Amino acid sequence: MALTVIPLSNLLTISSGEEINKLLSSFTCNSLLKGSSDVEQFLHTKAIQFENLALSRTYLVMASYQSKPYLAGYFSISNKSLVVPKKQFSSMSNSLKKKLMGLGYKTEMANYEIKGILLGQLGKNYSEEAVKAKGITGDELLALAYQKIREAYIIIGGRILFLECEDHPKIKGFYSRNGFKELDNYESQNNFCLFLKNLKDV
Amino acid sequence: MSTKSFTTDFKINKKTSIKLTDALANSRRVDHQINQKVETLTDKDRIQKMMSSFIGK
Repeated sequence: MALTVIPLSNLLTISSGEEINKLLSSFTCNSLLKGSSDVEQFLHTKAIQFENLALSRTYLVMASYQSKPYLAGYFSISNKSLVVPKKQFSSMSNSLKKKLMGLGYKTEMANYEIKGILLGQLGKNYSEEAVKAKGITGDELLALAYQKIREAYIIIGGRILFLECEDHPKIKGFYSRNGFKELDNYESQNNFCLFLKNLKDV
Repeated sequence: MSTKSFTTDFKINKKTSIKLTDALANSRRVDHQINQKVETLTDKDRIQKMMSSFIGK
């Protein structure tokens, strides 16, 4: 057994659109959860566009079943900051400001910013073939994402790794078990929970 | 996971900032062993070969 990670950016310069679409379309999440269908839709309809815009970087994880390669999962990452608007930052106590200054910096517009990396998508393929093959676990897929995130952290820096996820016990349990901390009682503007961890813990 | 995450400006307020510092203080490293060979493929010929095998050419 072996896992092969292919950067979508490389694939786009090599294979035809038809072949790439066939590969990406082989990914399916047979779940009624909104987040799962988003993971599938992203790969089917947005991943190429986002790659071309350099808005995100997607990595396809291939495994093999009966000597034939198949798409076992994928993940997409991007650089992203958390921002505390100027008005909010100026109303903070000096001790909180001091704590935050250890994580980020005040911009020229006097907002406060913490540089980070967003794990925007992470998904295992649940196609019939992939389920039979059992080529990768969720933990392994996250470990592969960590390898790329670590490379990015070494090259460009940053303080936090964060992600949005649905308020669902199984999903939240997965990230908690993997050392992420949830921002309690926080709901993002996309109506999701926010999980984060220190980049040095990746 | 959300496609919108990539285009969202993540703004946090004072209350959330306190939770953020607490969350980061409690963040921990969790390592998982991948019990199979892992390789990142960037070589054109090898990617083409894998795609041909996937497509069934």
